[in-house]
Amino acid sequence: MLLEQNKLDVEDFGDEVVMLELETGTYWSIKGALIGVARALLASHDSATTLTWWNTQPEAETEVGNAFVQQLSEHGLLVDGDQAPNTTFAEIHCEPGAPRFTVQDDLADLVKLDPIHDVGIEGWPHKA
Amino acid sequence: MRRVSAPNSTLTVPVKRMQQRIDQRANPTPVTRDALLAQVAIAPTAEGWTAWRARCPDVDGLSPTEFRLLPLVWHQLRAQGVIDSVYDGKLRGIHRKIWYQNRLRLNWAGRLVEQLHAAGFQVLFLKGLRLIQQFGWDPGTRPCADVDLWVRPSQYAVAKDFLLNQPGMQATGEVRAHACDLVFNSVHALDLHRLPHLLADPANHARGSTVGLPPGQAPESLFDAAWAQQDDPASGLTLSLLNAFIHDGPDRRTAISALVDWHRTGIAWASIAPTVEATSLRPAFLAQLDAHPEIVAQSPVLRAARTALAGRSMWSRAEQALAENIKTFEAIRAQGYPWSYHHWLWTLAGYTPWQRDLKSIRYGVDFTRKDPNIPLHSRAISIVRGTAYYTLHRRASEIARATINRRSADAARTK
Repeated sequence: MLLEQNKLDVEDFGDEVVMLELETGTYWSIKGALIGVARALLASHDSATTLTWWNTQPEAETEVGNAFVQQLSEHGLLVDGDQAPNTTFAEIHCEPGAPRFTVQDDLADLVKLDPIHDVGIEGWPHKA
Repeated sequence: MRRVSAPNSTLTVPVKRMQQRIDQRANPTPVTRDALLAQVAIAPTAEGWTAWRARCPDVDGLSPTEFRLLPLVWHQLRAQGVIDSVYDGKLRGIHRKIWYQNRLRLNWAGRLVEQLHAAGFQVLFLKGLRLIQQFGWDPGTRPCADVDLWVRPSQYAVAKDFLLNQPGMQATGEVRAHACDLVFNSVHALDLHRLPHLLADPANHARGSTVGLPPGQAPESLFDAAWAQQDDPASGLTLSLLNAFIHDGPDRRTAISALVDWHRTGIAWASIAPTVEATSLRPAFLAQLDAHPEIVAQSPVLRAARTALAGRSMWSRAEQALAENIKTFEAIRAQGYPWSYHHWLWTLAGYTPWQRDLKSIRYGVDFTRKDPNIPLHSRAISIVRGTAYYTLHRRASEIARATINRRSADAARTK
């Protein structure tokens, strides 16, 4: 399955990849080693082969990778692709750090949350 | 990476703001916190950041200008390896939130503009979102309060009706001479412009004033020129600066943010000078630059603009008159009058001080009259105080000033 990138606005900030689902306003934050999975999917790699490759990488955690792909599927973001998926992982770089991701899907909440006073030490969108 | 930190405070926000005002009165500093952060935005350094953090210990009680500049400052300092040891998470969160809001806005606005074009309306982006698009800025580094769209003036009324007939779109009730506010699904705020700024229509000027509109032009031909230049980044910047420098006085947040925007684009004065000259607004631009010498000093682009504007001998009669009007505005402001931003706008529109006083009184009356929460006796007191302030107090100040000047002249003669 390939990532349905037409539904997404994505920014790779180096130490974090953020994705915005354009139709729903859902906000994804991907950090640590899991960034490698995000980058592979964004480079049109198939999800199954991506997880196989990723599980060989340092700091990979199988459960986290599977949960991430599962959530993408549940949000309708993985589709059967028309084009042949990318098979080369040589240029995909994983970032250091424990793999983790968060999904925030309450648009009104995200927009209203005060990024100074209503958040914890990690900052928006993590509430205090 | 370098980590910097500053002392924390546990005071609540209103108390902190009061403390800031007391501190400023007791220990007036030549550089405001807003200007200090703007300097860091233009020339990011760990030392500049530490200096600002020392005056804002817990990143709280932020002014609107500071909130607007922080994501850019954070982004630029991180690129240099400078990390705030205490508040990096919150600062990153501000950046991410602004990125999120702007990406949502850009996506929504892009589809809205396509819809308007398909319906035959000519529409241009203005201000923040246009700058982000044309200069390829990280959307997280330039907060925008709303989407600004400029519709061809002759199509404005019909376009507004078209939009209000779209599901989810509502008017907020805020209608100004040059634009109106709409909101979509309580999420997206749209500022629908008939004009790029208030002075683009002669109806908003004092009699005889031509500032803000090139000779021989009307709102429709102004749009024609902008439409032809819609892919020109200099045109986008010029419109953004005109809007900011006309609508906000030199000490206000929009002007400071506009100076940072200008520096960021790297666009030289020579590229925007023809429009500014044609609209007789060089004195206004000079006043905005002169209000913040510490910010201008950090930026080669702004310094060069300031140098180019210093040659007043080439100014037109309209510009010479505007310069005099700005001089009286600033002299009166220096006495501590509570000028609303309207006074700056009225100065540019060609109104004399006594005319601005009358407009202030009328504005105050309208303002208090429209608010149903203000009791009648409070409204009456407010109106009487406003009238007395702008008439008796002004007259007393003029007499005092004239007396001081006469005594100084007498003293000089007797020496």
